[in-house]
Amino acid sequence: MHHAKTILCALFMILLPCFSSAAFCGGKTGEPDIHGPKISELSMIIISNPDAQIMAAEAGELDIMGDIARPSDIDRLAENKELAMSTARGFHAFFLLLNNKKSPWNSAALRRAAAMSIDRSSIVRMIFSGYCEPINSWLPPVSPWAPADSAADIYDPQAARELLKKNGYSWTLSGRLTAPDGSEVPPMKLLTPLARVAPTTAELAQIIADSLSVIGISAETEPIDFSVMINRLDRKDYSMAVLAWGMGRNPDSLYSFYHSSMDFEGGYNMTGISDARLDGALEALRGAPDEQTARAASAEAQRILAELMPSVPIYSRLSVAAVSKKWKNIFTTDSITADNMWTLLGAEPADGKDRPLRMLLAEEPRNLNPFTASSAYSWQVLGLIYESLLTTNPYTLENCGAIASSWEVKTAGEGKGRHTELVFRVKEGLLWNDGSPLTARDIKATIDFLRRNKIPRFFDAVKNIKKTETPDDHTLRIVMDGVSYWYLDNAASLPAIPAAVIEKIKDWQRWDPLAEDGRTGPHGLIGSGPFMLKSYRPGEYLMLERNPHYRRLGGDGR
Amino acid sequence: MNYRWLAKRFLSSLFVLAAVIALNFVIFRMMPGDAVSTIIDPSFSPEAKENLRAIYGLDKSLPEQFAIYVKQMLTFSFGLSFISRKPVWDELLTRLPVTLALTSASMAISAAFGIWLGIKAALNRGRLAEKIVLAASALTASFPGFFVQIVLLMLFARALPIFPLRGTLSVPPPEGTAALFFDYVRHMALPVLSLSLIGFGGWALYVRNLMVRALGEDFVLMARARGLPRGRVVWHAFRTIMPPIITILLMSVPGLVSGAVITESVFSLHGIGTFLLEAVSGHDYPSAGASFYLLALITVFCNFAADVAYGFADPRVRIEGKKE
Repeated sequence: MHHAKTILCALFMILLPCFSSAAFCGGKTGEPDIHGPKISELSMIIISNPDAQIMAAEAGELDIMGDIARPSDIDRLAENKELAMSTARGFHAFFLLLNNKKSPWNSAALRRAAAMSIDRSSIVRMIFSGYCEPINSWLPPVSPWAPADSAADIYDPQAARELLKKNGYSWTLSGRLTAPDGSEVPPMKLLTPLARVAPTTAELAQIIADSLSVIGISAETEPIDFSVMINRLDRKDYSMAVLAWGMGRNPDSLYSFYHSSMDFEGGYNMTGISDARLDGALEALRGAPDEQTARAASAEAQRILAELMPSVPIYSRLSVAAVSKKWKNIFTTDSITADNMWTLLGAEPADGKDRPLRMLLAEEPRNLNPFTASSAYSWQVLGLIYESLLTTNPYTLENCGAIASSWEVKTAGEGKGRHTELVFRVKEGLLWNDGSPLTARDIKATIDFLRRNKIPRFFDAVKNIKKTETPDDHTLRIVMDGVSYWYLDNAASLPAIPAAVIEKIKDWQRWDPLAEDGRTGPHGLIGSGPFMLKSYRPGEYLMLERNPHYRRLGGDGR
Repeated sequence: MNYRWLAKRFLSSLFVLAAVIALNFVIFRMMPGDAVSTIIDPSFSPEAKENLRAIYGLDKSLPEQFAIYVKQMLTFSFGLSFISRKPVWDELLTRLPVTLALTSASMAISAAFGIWLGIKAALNRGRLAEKIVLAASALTASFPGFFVQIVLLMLFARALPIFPLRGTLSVPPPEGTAALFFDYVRHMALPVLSLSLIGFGGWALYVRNLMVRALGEDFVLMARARGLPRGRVVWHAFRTIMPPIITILLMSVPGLVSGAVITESVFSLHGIGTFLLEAVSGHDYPSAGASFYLLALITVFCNFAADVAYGFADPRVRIEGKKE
């Protein structure tokens, strides 16, 4: 589904490793041995028309193009001899949502039978030419927390019918499914976004509707506007719907989607599943004090989900990127495509002549205020300028240090006063891109500012923070309210902003870092990331230049 | 000029604007969801969504929201965009030059070329020239705009790389004012040509029909009988069809702005059209409200201007106005 907000999370995870993290109970930096940026300038060229994007890549006007979704585009670019394609398992996951609160989907047996009647492998081949993988899990297979059998093929229409028979279902002479109480299962509508917006989703919905006829369910697709569809899902005014979203790699998101407390109008539990065992497992997962407990709770929650099947996982789209062969040191792994931070650090022109690397920016960023920017495109830029305490190891997708050299997650206190404490050791000798020193006090100032102003984008990440302390310039201690292993993710993924900048911000909502008048706050984007903004022509391009003070620049691991 | 008639026209224009202001508010709020409700990100809790709603002013009652909105429209202070958090006026002003350049140039070219072809076709009635004009006009006017533009982009920006694929400037832009100007013209050429190509056919067909009728009038016969040169006869006939041409010209201005939505999307231009599109799809009420309000203002103004201009071009209109 090509909706900017739904894909925000996925883009975030793929393109900006510094803003995504899983959790490990105490750790030390384990970043890949890549130093840079080797390029002095990075051009981010704004091309919003998808056809023009492909033509620009073919014509050699772009060096890196990420998030290529249409199979026809992938095939076309793959034929171009000047380009190399990179593919990785993605964080995108596509589901068939079933309204668990209404008949007939209030039966787990029927939901499981429906899952077994859909031939995911054939869908992947037919619609996506193999550029995605069928899934049978509620976390994308790339996640280190996904079960080993997350891509197992459960298609078995015969077994589906037997399961229904065993649970008292039968069929009329015309083949229509009859519930155990003798009532015929009525024809249903399957909500799907408009074909104009998401052509493959609309086609897929039709295949799913056809597949359900194997178990005697008559379904018809109902294409509707995306906003209308979300509105109906919020109100549980639906029987079935298809929806995709970008998932994080950790399993805490399962709580939002499947815990009964999230079943209210506008809550993320759109299937309306309510099960005491599942709630218990999800609560144990959210409140896990350490990795071991979290892993056990995650496995249990996913086992119960497979049993209850509140929604049916269908497929996860692969991330695909194209890179010009005129560049060397392109970095890819099984989990990340070439359009990543490590490539931007290591990439060099193959002919040795220094020139800007040209990267696609598929939409205008429009807002470069880190407090209010919400689009994936804004963060595609901001993620190169600002860093967090931790980043993601591109090989393992585990945490590794960015601003922090080491970290520790502790459980302190007794009884009701039990709480999590996070201690980060900030690397010594770090500088902001304006040359001023970066210390733990800057990170504290950022977190305190976000807490004080209840900034929506970061509200959930800081709402459980009780207090922050800096015993010295390089130690940050965060005391949380309550116990949760996932607090580490929340705190470690916040963008770090200098205290000197924070102090001068007069109105965080209206702050325009590019404005020179200083009416709402200071001028400039001062971060510690590998690049800094050189020039910006709205609608045209952003030119970034190498941060001369970047911590990985000299290769001395400063 | 009849002032009573003018005042009546002015009042009816104000009434239209008031209706547009009210409809703009109602229609956008009637659309399911808002700028916050379509965020499907498990890391964004309902509490955080509520905070965001409060920042956008969506937590206020509808009458309160309406009062703020009307004040903003009347004072031309449109508030902050939900998406960019920048004043809507600033956003519109940064995008205006591209849309103005695109629409004014394409309108001038398509109208001039279309009128010239229409006159030529009328003067060559029944001949090959007329048939060619009619066929070409019908063909270009009947193709969907976005299709023509994508084909042009593929032909003249990709297969034959004469024009750039995107935007209004090269990356990095050339140095020097002259070089910058020519770079801008090269970038804008294809979007302008494509809009002109789509637009000229309608003009040619319309003018041809008007001109054929005018050339058959008695005064033209009289002029010919008096031995006036052909050019003067044509000019006399053309003058009589000017009022409807002026009307169409002015009335097509708002249509050009809304037509810019597609053109700017295809050619990745930073104009009012793409702003409008992003505002509507992102439920950005302040931006969408302001854009449609300004569009309505342009429409009403052009309508009013067309009425006045018609009066100047055709004295009969003024006389009839006096009779009223």
